[in-house]
Amino acid sequence: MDAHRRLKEDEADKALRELFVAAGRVEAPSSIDVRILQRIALAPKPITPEPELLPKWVWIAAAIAFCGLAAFLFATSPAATGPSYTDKLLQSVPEFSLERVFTSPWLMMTVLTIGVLMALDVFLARGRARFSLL
Amino acid sequence: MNEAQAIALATSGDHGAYAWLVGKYKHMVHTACYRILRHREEAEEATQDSFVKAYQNLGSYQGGSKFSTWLFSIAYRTAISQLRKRRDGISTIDELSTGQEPSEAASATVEINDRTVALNKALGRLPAEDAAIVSFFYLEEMSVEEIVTVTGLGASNVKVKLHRSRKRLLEILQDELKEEAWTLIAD
Repeated sequence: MDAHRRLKEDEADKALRELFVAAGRVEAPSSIDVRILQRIALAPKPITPEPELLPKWVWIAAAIAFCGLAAFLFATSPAATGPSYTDKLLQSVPEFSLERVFTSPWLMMTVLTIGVLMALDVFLARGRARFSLL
Repeated sequence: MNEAQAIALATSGDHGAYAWLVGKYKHMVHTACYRILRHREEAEEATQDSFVKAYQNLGSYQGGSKFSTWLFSIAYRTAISQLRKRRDGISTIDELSTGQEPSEAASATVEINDRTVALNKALGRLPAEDAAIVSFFYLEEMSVEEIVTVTGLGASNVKVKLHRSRKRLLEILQDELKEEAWTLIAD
């Protein structure tokens, strides 16, 4: 029964394929090439996506590892009464005054340099986009 | 020029290379759009849109699948989106079902035209999506996997649609052509 059905399906497929091939494709108008190319001429050049710096799975693995480490540090403590790893970690960070940080000329220079570099990057990116359109 | 060279040149902005690709695939893309939209002007517009979209996204074509499959997926989505805008899923009277009657042609040509008209009528009675899928399968000889890539439907869904459409096509062709061979296959 199944073999008979399969045979019928194969026959049907063959007959339909022959019919489709005999009927052929619906021809596009001959002028369509010109119209497509006219539109292409106005369109920007194809954009090639930049290759990824790191594969996605590396980012995911790094995020999981980081979260795991953070969870471990926050959750565990060497002894029930003793300070946790987090406390120890914070204790090892030297104390500093926020006022001294914000009035530091080094910080000002750093912020200023970042600003200048970012402005330069935006300017160069715009120039490159304009050049690629030509 | 071969296809890989044309794609590489077109990606770098060579319009001549893209014209070569348009020339190669325009009828295939137009047929797919026409099977879905069933309207010459709209199919032509969808064909143009598909080629423009494909050009703009050439950089994202990685060569993982055949270029024709990638192009068909753009054409399919473009035509389906145009169809949804029109909100006319299954048209009863359209260009496909009217066909062109042969006048004083030779009997062989008349027979081929009769069959073509019957096929077009049968396709016109299928839902637009299904008509495109059977056309991909029988005319473009795409595998189920390729149709899945083009349409974004699941493999089992494509198989069910193909099975139903084949059955429906055979029933309609049996009525239209009244030929013994079709009766035997359709029964």
